[in-house]
Amino acid sequence: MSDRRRLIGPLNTIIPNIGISSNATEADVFKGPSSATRNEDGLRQFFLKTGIIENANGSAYLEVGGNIIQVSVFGPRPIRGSFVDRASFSVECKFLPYISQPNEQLYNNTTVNAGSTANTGPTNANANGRTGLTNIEQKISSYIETALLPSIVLEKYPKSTIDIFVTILSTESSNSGSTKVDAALLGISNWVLNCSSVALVDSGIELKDVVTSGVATLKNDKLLLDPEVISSGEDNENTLTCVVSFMNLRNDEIVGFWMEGDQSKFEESQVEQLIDGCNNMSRQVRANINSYFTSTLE
Amino acid sequence: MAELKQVSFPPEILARIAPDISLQRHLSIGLRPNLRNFTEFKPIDIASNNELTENNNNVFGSSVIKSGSTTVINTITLGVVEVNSSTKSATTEQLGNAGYTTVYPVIEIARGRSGAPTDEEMILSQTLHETLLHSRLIPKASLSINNYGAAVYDATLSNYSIYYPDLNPQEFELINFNHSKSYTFVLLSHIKIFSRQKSTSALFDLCHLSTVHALSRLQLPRVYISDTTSGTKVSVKSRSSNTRGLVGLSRSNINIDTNKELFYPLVLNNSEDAMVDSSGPFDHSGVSSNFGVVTVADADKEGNDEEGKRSILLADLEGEAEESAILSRLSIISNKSNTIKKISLINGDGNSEISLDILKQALEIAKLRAQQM
Amino acid sequence: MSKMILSPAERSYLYDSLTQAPPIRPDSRTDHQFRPLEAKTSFLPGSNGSARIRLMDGSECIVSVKSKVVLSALESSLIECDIDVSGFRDDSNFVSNLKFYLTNLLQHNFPTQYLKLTSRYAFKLFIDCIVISHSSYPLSLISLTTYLALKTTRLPLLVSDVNDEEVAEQPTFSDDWDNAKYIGDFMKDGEVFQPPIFITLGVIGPNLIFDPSTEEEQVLENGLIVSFYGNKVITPISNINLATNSNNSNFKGLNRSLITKAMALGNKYCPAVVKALDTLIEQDDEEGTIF
Repeated sequence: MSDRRRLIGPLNTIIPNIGISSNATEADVFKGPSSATRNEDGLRQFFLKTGIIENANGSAYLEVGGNIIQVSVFGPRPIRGSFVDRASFSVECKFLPYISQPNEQLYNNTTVNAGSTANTGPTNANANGRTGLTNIEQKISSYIETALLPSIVLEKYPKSTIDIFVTILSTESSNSGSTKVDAALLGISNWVLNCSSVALVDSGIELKDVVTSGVATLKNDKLLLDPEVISSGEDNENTLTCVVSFMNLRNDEIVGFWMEGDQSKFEESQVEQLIDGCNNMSRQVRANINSYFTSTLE
Repeated sequence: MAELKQVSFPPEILARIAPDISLQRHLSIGLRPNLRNFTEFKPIDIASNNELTENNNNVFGSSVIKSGSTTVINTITLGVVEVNSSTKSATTEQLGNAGYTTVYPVIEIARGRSGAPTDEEMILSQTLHETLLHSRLIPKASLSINNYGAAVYDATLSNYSIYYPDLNPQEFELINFNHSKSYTFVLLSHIKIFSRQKSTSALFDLCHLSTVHALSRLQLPRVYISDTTSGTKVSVKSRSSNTRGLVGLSRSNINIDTNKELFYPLVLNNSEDAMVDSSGPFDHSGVSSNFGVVTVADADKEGNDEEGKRSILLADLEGEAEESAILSRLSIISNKSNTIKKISLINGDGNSEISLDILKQALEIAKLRAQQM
Repeated sequence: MSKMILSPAERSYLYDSLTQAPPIRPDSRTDHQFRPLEAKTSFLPGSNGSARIRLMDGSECIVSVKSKVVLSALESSLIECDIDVSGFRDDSNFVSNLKFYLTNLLQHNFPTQYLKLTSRYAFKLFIDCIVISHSSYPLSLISLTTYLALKTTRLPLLVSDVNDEEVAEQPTFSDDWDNAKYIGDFMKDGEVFQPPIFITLGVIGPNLIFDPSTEEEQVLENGLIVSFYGNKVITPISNINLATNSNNSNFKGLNRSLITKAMALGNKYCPAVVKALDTLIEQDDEEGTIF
């Protein structure tokens, strides 16, 4: 039970479940829709800052709604071994240990204790001692890697490696470890990708284009951009959610596509609608990123 | 024979390839590579908002501290451990050092590599753990859990209600509550350091500050026991490499009441007051300051000894040059009542030894800084 | 598992032939044709269901389905998957993602109501996959084997009372294994049990090719994973870089029209895949042997 390299508490420490509130009025109440303003197209305001990490080649910090994401880019760094004609690229995404990851009960093999009546708690294991990445972190990492791979001119950096490290400091759905809403996982992937793109620009690595991403939900035929996880009662009925990432200046070619949802009615027209919505959102994000960079260069 | 030309390097490059020379050059003209005065500390910003605690219901204390570009994010979560009820009877004074407990920190420095904890991270965690224990900051009695509540299922309302012996005595009496074990909280802290600027001593100061600040804002919850039909499962060693060496999950029926109105602050240092002190969090625990001693050789300055060298005390080491060239270090924790909580001296360099004068100077500076925090 | 490194000439040759209309594939398959496979079911004596698929190039996957009676309230889900790929660590990105895909697919698209025994108890299925050897991206292989295993899974017959609201009673089952029923037997008339599957598509130029082989994967511009259940294409759908053990220099973005085209192709050709698998099960008459 002991990890000899970390101080994770006395041997027989148990992590208690986060239960319910004894205050009946407080029970299961969420923060409610955030006060983040949305513009006419439905996009929330986001806060962006680059260059804050000194020991990384590039870095970016993004805050949108309740999500706080920090990305550091290291590279090009030399690698040992025989010559390779292009850089190798990797992405590692980690949540802070105590943050409950979206949909974690399904994918992270966390158990539910029926004694904890509201089932809202995070994993019962001591998260401080965790090594490696959870399944959700691996999935987000591979989505980012797949989407950013086409945009980097890897041939310019032989025998090198470019690594991106993402730290998710906070998510909107933190307090809803039992959330099954797709928007939680897809939404955070969307913003992680946008933040990583900005960090890549900050690092000065040669890029073919800046990848931007949009996330949209089609619920009961209503299209909603950048959906927020509002209450714990939401589920996936009649909902199609997808995150689509584009290289806007290269004819909007799609570098990342991930769609989840309820499949009772699933038609091509809906997919088209969602892709259009995400494209719309990605263009707006791109416009904002452009204005951020031009203003910081002044 | 070919002529040898002199090569000159810009300051940043010189700092990396010949840090000792770079440092000597700076000091001989009265400067430091990071352009601070010799005894000047880097300014520290402590974030006043409590967002991490509010947004996450398993975080009970947190702190965000910035110094230069280095950011330290500290979160405190709670574990629970069973105690032997017989040890609870002695008072804190009788138990001496054993009456106090400490935090279990896990420090992660973001350095662009993933993998096992480095020596530095391990040493920082262990030093912090021990320093807090010996500074007698957290009495064991403060973490003991009393007045366990019971969760009862109300079939008519089809939800659970929680009753406490002290808050709802009438309802509690009706419940068949047999729970004989006693538990105490365990403080688990996770510290993530971003953009570190290359000095382990300075990092310790920041981590210490961050932990004390988080402790001063820590709010402990009430605990209730739910019905035991689920039983307890014995922990199983997991095959998956993700939990290498760690035992898997054990089910328990101890739950945390998320009712924020019932949260109470951690009582520190045996004081009757809720917070550490009325004036500030660092009053009892103290503030940690780090120093280094380096010898500068300049022949024509006054105050040198015959060999033309003088010892300089530098406060708050920072930067590649200082970190690698300065081997004699001091770490002093002093608090507002001028008590020295901890001194650590290392004479790492035969040329730059810590003399009594240097030590006195450092103590004065540390005390002054603790007063001003 | 051979590491495939193509020379620039081979890459260029492959790329050019695959971007033709229609694409010319090295094994002369059509664009919607799967590689031939050999399969066997119900050969593991200790499991409720088992299946094995072997491809001509030696790729092989075995799936076992075991069941356990659990208290429904204690479980967050009634299906649990585990994947083991030889040559990869369990916590590697490769295996974690495969597990994520399979778990995601089965969580959302399985008629778990048929696993319920009483109001308190239910069957929980543990699906364990071993990929003994693979050359191309194994997700499709894994999902087809899982289909076969689930379809031939037999669960013991409940003989105790279904209604245990009032009286708590542990479920008891018939001792006679011949009474065990297939999951499909629980379904109502007209409904057929067809677990969901994944298909892998390669994107190259304007073409989409089904079930790309290892060489084809090296020159693809992108890849798509599409799910199929209930006789139609469903989510999750995502794009993926299939060339995981080498650096694919052709990788780029894809046109949105290809996504809708992939869905259309899926709807058109996947029913045949499912039908072929069902036929395979019917024709599989040698019980208990693995070959």
